[in-house]
Amino acid sequence: MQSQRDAETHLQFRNIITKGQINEKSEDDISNIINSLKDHQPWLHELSVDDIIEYFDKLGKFWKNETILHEKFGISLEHIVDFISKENLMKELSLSLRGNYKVLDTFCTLDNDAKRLYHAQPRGLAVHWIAGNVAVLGIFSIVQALITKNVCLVKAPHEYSILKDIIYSMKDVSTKKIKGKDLLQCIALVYIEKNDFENQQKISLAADARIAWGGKDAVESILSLKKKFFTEDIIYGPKYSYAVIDEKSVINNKEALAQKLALDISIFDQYACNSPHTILVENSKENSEEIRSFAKLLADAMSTVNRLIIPKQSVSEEKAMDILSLRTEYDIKGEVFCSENTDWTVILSDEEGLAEPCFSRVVFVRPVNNLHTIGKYQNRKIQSISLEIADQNQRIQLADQITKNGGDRCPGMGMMSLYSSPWDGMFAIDRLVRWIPLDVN
Amino acid sequence: MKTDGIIKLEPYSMRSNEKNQIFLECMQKSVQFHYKNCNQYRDFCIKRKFDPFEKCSIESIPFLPVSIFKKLELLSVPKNEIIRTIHSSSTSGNLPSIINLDKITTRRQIITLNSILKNYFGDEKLSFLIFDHDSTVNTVDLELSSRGSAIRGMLGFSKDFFFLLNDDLELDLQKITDALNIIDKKKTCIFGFTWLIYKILTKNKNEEIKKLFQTLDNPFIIHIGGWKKLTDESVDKITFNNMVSRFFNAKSENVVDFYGMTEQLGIVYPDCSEGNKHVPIFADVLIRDIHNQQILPHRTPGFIQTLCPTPNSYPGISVLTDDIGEVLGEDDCPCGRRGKYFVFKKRSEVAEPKGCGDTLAI
Repeated sequence: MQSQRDAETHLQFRNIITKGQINEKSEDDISNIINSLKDHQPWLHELSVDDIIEYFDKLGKFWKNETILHEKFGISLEHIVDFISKENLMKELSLSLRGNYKVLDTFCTLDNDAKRLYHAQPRGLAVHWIAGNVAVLGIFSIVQALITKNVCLVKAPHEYSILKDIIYSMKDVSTKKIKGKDLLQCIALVYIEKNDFENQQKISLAADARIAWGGKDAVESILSLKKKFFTEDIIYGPKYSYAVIDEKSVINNKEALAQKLALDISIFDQYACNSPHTILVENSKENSEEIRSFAKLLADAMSTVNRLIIPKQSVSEEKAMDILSLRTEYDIKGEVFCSENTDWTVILSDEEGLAEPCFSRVVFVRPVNNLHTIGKYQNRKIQSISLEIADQNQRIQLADQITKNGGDRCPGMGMMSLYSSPWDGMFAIDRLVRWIPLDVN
Repeated sequence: MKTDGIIKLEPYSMRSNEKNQIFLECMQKSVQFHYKNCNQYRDFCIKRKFDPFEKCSIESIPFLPVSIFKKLELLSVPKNEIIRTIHSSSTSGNLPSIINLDKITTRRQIITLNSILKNYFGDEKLSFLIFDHDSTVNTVDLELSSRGSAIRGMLGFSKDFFFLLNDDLELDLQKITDALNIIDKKKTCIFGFTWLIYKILTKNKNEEIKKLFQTLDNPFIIHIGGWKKLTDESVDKITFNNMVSRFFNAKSENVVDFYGMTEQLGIVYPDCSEGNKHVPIFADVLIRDIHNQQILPHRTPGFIQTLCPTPNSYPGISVLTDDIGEVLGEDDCPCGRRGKYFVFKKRSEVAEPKGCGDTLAI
């Protein structure tokens, strides 16, 4: 017990990657780390955005071939690689920066009005609080901060080895214009215990942009820290996601939809904001068997995904008990399709609305009589709603209707787990820059 | 043999191989009873493809996770036969378990509890010094907390009893003095909830109170209610036992931890002199794998499943707890008790990060 306490004390504040090196034994304090990052701001500012894009594109190709990273990240690595590809970054930048990403390098016109030019300057120091549930998401915010020429101080979660490995591998990739080891000097990865208020406060006060990923407690704790008056907050807080299938789609396409959803459910074991917990299926009396048939196919697909594509991570004792308890409850109240162990569970019931999430690949399939009633479940806590509606016009109308009061994205089925911008209603890239207009005579 | 027969047997008198067939017969009759009388339980058995009227084994009897009693009210008798409702302490979640008891269940609980306690503490009744306030048991309605229920269960075993805490759950000097003036100090039992005893002893700075307890002559200290709160404070069993035995002038082996649960009141598993918990004839304990719920071999930790045929008013006859334990052996504990014996290791732990989706509960 004593040694465990010692280890926890030791973890209160820890350098992980600082000054371009793994420095876990260093006792450098947070002020020195921040100063070192700021020293590299001018260098980062002088890089052209095309050179940075080139670098990330090459980094993605490098990561794609790294077996160890594949083992650690699984299918999420492909998402990261796709995101940082040249083609995608150019698209994301253009979307976020009003059509002309060169504004990151210099003053440019945005509307063919030569008398007024615009430049997107970096905010400065971007501080990222990365959540423990899906550390991989942190990579997306780091890339977006670097490409907008902000230096990055990253507060890692308690289990930070994956993040450390992937970030440190940047040193192994260089292009003609950018050496990885130089770019790595623009990132510092540190661990700060959540109760280490002093250091948490220091990094918050130093931040020009605060990017917080996490659950309610984590986000509230970050928001309660003092910050500079002009600091920009980008909060990726707790969210709930679900999917909707209309009757026509479930009748005609249930097998393919089940396969796609099984991937969405399994990728982060449902610990991500964008993981679906409930599948609402439009169900009329005439076709009442369709929903059960869909649930069975979803169970088959969950089994296949678990066996062949994304093996389930081990679960805690408490989570195993949660799963067993739910299975028993719905053996009585509904119908359960599940693995022999606690790997995956599909729960079918007549209940209405969104289910309380269990996580750990437990998904609820519930009927909805009228798709237009879904809007009542919407609020700002809802993030992704995957809509499978056969008629495109109806799909667009429904998306408009249900996102009126909440919901941040309507990705296609099988695409729910993919990070894309905007996220949680924000173009992060846009939030990471300051827009400077310049009138020209 | 029926349930009312098995509970009259000496609890630790049979070897496992003798007991198993008798116990299975009782359990099967009990499962059949609940299958016939509780629609939800019948649905559950059907879904689990278990037919209680066919030949079965103890291992094949389906279990209900202990938390199901927090979610569903399961009854095997008409509601008007319920004479008491017990609420669990709800330490492991927000909702308490709600257990409805009828006369038959209550009577059986008294018999099994007395049978177990006599085996451990002898026939002679002891004076009970209770580390609680009398309001915990003095409820006027039918509803009782599991703490109150546990205390009330023990009172039948006492020669006389004294509540030592005031309304603020702190030691009351006057109450202690009065009690110690009356009781036989050689035949005393201190009784209370583990966390409450620990909290009070660590908070007590009153030397006068400490001196009063030092006048006791090697009392028993029975504590119940689990270790979760103490584990959170990094207090282990040895530390607790040493602290308690010093405070009450008792030998360490007289500090006895009871394992039990609201869902199967009346069946308690006290520590023996070897620190093991023994399974009586009228109960069984199985250890199941956390991930696939297969039965685990001895000396392998897993979820503790407890079975007993005594509940009549609700189908809590086979319950999977969220506690971790391991069976150590059968029939060969040096303490001399026969049958299976096990150790409680810990409450189940959270090892996973919280997911974002928990926002729905905010």
